[in-house]
Amino acid sequence: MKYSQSISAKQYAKAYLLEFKNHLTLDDIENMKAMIRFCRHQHNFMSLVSVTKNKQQVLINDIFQHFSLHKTLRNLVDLLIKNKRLTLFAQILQDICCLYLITKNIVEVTIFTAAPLDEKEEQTFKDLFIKLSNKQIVSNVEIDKTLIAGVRMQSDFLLWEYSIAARIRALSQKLLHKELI
Amino acid sequence: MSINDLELVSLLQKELQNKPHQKLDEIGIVVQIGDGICKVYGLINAIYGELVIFEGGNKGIILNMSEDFVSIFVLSQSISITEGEIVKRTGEAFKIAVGNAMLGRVINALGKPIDGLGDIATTEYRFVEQDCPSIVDRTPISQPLQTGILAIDALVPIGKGQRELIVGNRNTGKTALAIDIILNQKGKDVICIYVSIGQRQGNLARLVNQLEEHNALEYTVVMSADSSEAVLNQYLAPYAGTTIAEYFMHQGKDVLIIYDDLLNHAIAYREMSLLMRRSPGREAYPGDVFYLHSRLLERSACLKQGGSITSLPIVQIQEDDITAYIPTNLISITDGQLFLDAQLFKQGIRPAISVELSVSRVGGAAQTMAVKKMSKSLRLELAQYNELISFAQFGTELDEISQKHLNRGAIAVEILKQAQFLHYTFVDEAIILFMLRQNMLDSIPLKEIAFCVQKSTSYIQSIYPEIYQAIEISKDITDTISERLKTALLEFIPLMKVEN
Repeated sequence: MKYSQSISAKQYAKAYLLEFKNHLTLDDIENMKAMIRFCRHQHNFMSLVSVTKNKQQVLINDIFQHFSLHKTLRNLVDLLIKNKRLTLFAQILQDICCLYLITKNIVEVTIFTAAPLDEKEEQTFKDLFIKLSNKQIVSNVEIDKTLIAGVRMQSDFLLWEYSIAARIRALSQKLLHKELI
Repeated sequence: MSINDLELVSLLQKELQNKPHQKLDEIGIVVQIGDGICKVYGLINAIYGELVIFEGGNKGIILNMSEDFVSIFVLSQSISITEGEIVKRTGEAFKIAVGNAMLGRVINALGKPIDGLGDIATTEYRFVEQDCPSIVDRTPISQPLQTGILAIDALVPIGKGQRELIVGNRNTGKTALAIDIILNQKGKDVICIYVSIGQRQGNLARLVNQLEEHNALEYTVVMSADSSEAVLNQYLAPYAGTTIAEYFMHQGKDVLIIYDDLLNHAIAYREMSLLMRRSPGREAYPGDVFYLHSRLLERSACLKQGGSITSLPIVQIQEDDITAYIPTNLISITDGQLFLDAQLFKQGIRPAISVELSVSRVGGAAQTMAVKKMSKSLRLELAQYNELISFAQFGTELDEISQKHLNRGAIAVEILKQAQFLHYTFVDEAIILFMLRQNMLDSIPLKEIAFCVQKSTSYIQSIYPEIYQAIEISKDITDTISERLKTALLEFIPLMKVEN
């Protein structure tokens, strides 16, 4: 994507959120993400540009129904069709998701753990991340045996780790830089 | 140094006892790597010039920031960097170790020793990029920096805290001149720092040997970012060298720093800028290439509370073209330039300093009175000589006065010739210039003049030490001293004729 297109996509996203930010929920954001993942592989909107108007409307309806996209996004799609910028739709959705989470002070956190966590443990780690980041979080848990033991909580821009793998890594770096010898 | 299993286990146990962090690390993710530069997504609060740490252990400096990515140049990439690797902020700019233990050592741009003499015991770290001293902290240049080279001390004097550019074609003796100036600082309480940028390793080894042979390494720090090193190191080297110089300056010491050469520095920065996709300007240099050098050279100063940094940046030109982009930038930044002429060099006039094109804008105020008095009309005489010599080449018949100017000019050129590693004290210089001023050398054959002036200074020093000391103490040639010196030298000249 060209730099100018990415700027345009951001502007559309900002304008959309200005109008409809309070209509959206986290579920809507999740649905948008499913759509983004689909677009990455299918490039469907590229092909939508070339079909007839009627067919285009039918296809868009199907997509909205399939991904349960929020109805306000239909206005955005119509505007993009009018301006012949439908190809930007996936990028705009991506920007909407990012900007929405930022404006609502929400971060998506993946909790990597060496061993499965029970509900109480998971909540403890979530609370810790909320306390340290001062943000609301949306989390999911993944098992990562390479940690050996411990936990790693990672969002797009933030990281907290307390694992044996991290300690070994730190030790090897210190030894490499002769900080201990 | 090896480490056994038991030690490793105890180190790991100690590491595991560390408590978890009570703060989150700000991170980014490597999305592209190549040519020593990384594009990283994230690091949203990072600042320009910040040091970052890669998860694999490498370190880098943020040197470009765009809306979605930051560009990071990697410092000494010891471990490979992979796409998707996490990069953490440190919240600090790049620092270098400084200390007195650096004297006599050869280090790289990161401050690590490369002379095989082991680690350097330093305890203090300073930021490589620093603000230059403010106007309030500075004082006008008033102390001379003795170079020991007559042509410089008499015609283009350099003061402590001055920035004097050395400019010339390749093989015109730029580095040799710089080494000579370093060697002359022995016993003068001046610390020297030589920063080699983009030079051949062989040249640097030769330079270090010369400094060692003349016992000059003990008060010198040699910083090397040779041509085989990453461009980032070549870019950082002059700033790191200046940081070390500032450490000494803030202790009240006088420092001489030589950047050899800043054209290579500009080329390294051009390479970095092009890799960062910055718009190329004239000769493909980025728009801020002037600022690159101005912010470096503005750090040279003479401080009110004592201490100074005198800088001698070197820049190589091609085909005597002094109007090239980087040389003109540097000429406008510095307080004067020493132009080394390839033609003069070929004619055997060494140091090949062109009197017409060399200038010192502030050094005159710092010149020793004795030398200043004696060299008053020297520049004019040399200018007249150079003008007349071109007429003489056409076979034009010259009148008696012109012929006299020519002869006098030829003698002046002869006394300004100086072999490498031969240094004069300011008293020597004053005596030599006195002889020229008093027309005492007119009867000496041109070939013998260099020998004669050398002998004359040692003659005065050994036979009339009181005159020598009087000049040394008063730093002036008063009327009384002048009379006595004249008498002494009039005794000496016939001796030279007999010897011939």
